[in-house]
Amino acid sequence: MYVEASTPNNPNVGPFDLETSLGSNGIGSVFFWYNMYGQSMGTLALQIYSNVSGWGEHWSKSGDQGEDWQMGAVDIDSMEALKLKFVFFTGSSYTSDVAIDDINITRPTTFAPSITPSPSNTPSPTCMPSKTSAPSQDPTYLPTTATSAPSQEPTYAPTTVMAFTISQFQNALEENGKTISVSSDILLSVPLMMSNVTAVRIIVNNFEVSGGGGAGCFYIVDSEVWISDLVVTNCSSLGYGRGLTIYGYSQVSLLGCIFSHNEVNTDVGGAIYFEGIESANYYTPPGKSSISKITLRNCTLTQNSGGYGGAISFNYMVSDYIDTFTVYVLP
Amino acid sequence: MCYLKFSTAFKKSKRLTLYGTSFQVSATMVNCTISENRAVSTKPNTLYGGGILATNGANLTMLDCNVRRNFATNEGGGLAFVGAHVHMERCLVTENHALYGGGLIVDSSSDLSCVETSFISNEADRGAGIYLGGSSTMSSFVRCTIAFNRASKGSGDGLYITYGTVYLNSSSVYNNTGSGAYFTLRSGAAYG
Repeated sequence: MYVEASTPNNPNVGPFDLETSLGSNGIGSVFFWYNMYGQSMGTLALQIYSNVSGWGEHWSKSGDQGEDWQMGAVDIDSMEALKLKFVFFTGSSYTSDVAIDDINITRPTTFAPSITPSPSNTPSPTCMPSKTSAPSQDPTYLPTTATSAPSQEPTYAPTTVMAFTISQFQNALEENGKTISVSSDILLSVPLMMSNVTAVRIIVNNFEVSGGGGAGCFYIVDSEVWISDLVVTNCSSLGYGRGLTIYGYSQVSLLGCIFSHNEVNTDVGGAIYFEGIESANYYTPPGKSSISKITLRNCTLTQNSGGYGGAISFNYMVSDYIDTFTVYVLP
Repeated sequence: MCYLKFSTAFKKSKRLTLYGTSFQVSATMVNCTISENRAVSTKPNTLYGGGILATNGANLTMLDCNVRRNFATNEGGGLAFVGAHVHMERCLVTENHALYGGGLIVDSSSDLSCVETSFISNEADRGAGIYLGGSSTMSSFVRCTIAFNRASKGSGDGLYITYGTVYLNSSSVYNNTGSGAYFTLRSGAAYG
């Protein structure tokens, strides 16, 4: 959505709406990018509609937010939500253009997907995230949300988890709520609810895999994972391990993550290895399309080392579905 | 100063067809920094992609990314695209180093489209800025800048082109040490 604030769209003209229906699945979190650059910038708000409470405002921002695009992250977590809309009012003059892009909506934590997990990675029912695991009232675990002042950062000590499993991941969320410090493997081998993962800041530091074939700090298979502010440093392996390994039909989004000083000895992807292969070796959960996708936004990868792809290796991706199309029509 | 400006590409064909968006498997990088990474080993002639390696049909889109000061023992100090489908837009590739393709190497049936992307101050023996090789590769550069790159062996400081089809449109190749663009086409065609 883009709103041009030139005359006659000023002063203080609106509302300009961008509305969408959420269907019957409710809403978990909303992630979006906005640009509010201008001296007389107006007000942008995010509103949610439910049959219970009608329209309610869950996020707003007013005034000049600088030249750069900013990320908005709003945790709503409601099964009752039916509609979502962005509402904008221009400011006092023409210098209040606004733009919104790349809007992502996750499922609520109370949403129970019909997933038949892979036989080799069968999670117990208790592994499924629960609404109580992450206090939704405190937005400070969304580090890029501008409404979070540094002084509001959690003061409790992070939970340190050894030999990370899905259930321990869940327990750590319930015990800690916000920050997890990991010092051993994380295995995300079932499709996690994105809102649960996005609601946590995962910090991995000084982690080392010794010996060949290690999975590195993160190993994600056939999972939908959205992580922000992930810091992965000093992960190393003699084998295929590295900072983050992604296989199969995974859809992984990384926001504002840092990968530094990770090393894979002579193999591929010192920091990140992404293999979106279509293979009989990988299990596709019912109802999920065979899509492998990784998105990195505002990430920094520095001083990593590998034999091939010192920072990242994108490898073995299927190309059966590639279509041809026209990119440029030049004068 | 060596200044080459290409502005006539596509005027006859009007359009360029590339592999496109219906990817089931894809990688996207937006506003990312890839710096000071290394692809190194004692094994000779096998290592490439100091910053990023995209290969075996990888579909990669890079927008507003900064690739700087990466190193590869062999090929592609900053970027190596080997059998990949890549689109780069508004990226900056600077100060990377390799034996071939200091900033970027494109090889083995890859297709690459670069828009408003700059390859500055990279170093290599050959193809300091960009090394384009491999049969059936297709590369296009639209409003790109390839400048101040340095090839220590004196071949293709800006561009070193051996195979494939290359389109240069409204792009600038200048102030590279020695030759700006070195065409040693073994097959394929270059348009500019």
